[in-house]
Amino acid sequence: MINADRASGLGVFVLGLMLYFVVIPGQIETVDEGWMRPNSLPNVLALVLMACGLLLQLRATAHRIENPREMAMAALYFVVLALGLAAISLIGFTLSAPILAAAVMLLMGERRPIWLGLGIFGTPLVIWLVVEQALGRVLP
Amino acid sequence: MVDFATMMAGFSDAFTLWNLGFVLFGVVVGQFVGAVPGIGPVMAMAIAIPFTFGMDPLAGIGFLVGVNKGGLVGGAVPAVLMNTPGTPDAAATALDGYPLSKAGKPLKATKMALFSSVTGDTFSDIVLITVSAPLAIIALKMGPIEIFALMIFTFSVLSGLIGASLIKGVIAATLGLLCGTVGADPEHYTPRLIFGQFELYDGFPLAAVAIGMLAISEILRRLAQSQGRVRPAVELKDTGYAADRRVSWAEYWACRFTMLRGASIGTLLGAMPGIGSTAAAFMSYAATKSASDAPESFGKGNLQGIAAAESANSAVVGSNLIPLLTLGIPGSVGAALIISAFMIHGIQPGPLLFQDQGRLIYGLFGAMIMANLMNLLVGQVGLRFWIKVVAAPETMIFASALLLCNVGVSLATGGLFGVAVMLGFAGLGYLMTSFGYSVVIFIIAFFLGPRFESSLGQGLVLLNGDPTGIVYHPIAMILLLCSAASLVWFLRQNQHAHED
Repeated sequence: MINADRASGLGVFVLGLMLYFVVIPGQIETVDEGWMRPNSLPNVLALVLMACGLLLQLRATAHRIENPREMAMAALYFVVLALGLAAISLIGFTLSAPILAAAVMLLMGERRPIWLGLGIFGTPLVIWLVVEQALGRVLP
Repeated sequence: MVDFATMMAGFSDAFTLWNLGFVLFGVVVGQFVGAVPGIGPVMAMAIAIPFTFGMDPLAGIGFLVGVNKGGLVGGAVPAVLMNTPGTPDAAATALDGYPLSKAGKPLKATKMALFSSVTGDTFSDIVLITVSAPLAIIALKMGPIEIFALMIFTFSVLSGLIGASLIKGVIAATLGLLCGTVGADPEHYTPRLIFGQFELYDGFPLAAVAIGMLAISEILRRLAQSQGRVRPAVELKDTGYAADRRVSWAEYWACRFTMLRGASIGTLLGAMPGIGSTAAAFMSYAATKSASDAPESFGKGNLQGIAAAESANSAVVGSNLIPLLTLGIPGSVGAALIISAFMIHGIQPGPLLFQDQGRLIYGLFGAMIMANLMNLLVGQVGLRFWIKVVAAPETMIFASALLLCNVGVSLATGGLFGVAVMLGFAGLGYLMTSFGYSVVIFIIAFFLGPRFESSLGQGLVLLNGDPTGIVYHPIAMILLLCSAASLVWFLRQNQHAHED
């Protein structure tokens, strides 16, 4: 099983390194005046990340990632949500919301028609009524 | 600082039908979501914030306060009935609530939880109302150097108290501060870390970050854990005696010292950043048990145990707002969410709040007191209904919550870019909690980030770029020394835990 502290410590160290040497120089304009320059705090924070990443390697606790399957399932649901976002931007919330609700409910194992009907059609309908009709705001 | 007429005007604002209606709605929503294991008031507040955008500030903030307070009462229902606390705060309530429920007295247990929760909450609100204005006067005397030192102290305490590892706490705070630097820098207004996305010029939207990390990441976790199981319905036992369905005045009065102790512990711990209501509940429970003549009765359905836990965890809610309203520093995620609602309405939190928005603040205090009363009334009527809510299918709840988050964030941020940011932070939040990092510290640091940087910048200007000049600022020196001492202490604690 993966030691959570060692794995994440390494990730944090690499993140700090990338920030300090690649991201911050490329994404923050250099200014040569004032006590606090635009890159001063980000650079300090990147150094802190590097130091803490190394310290975590040295003082790792016994915390382990015990259920990689759960993380894989979470990644799957994350993809569903990202596809849902893409669908909203393409066909709008009103049409994509029932599809997103159906995907989530079916993936969770819901098979009862009444609850499926309520989740797929009832919830988007209530949201439409509240947001567009009651609040007068436009759904995405 | 705030004249009497402004105070009275604020209180009277809270008592308008419109505002009372929103507080009541918030309490109902809070009790409902609190009763659903896995949702809880923090997630509900995060989802609700964008919907307060179109409301009057007092109505919106009163609604959120109602959700927060109602959630604590609702959280006791699944703790008592299923031994599955709806919120972590209610874990101590389950110790005696669940045995009492199994003995056929579920309504007595939930009602004791309700009464003691309202008692503790009201005590803490009274303390908040009386001490926050004088504290704000003191806070106004603090300059940027002292504010910067105070933030360092807050981060060091939060990093040590929340989670099992100080180093991970520091990493979470650093990541939060780093995300807070995205956008225009406060001194030169040059864009930083925006990767060509001009929507990021004002930084990551707070609503998208909070909802992504608190609500969506938790929903992702619950979805991944669900594996198609349907939660079994809860069967309630009933002894058939009317006395076992209610709490008599004698039973309530017998717990008065327990509730007073719990409320005092909760109020004291709530005023300090990071400790939170779960610790307060367990500390109060332990103190009550050790002070009791019959400690062996605890854990077997003792009403004193429920009163101790609930009065303490609810008392945290009011006093949590003390550092928020006086210094602009949130001590918990709930407080950070309330502060984000302030900002959505264009109100800058901090010591000037009493001076600039005195009427609104006293309106908030009035709304808090009314929320307690409504908690009592709604709880009396609604507890039977919330008991049924416990068995509602997760599939329906989480699918609805996801849709609400999408809509809420797009409304708050003005488009789908905010929803994309929310998704990104949901992934980060999920990874952080999976690897044992606190998202609470991250969000508080993210929120304080811009103020942290501007205080540091102003402080350096005042010190003419010489950090050693801080020795002429005794309050800042004391705070920095306290920060160093707390870091050393927490490191030693971690070391002992590691060796054990």
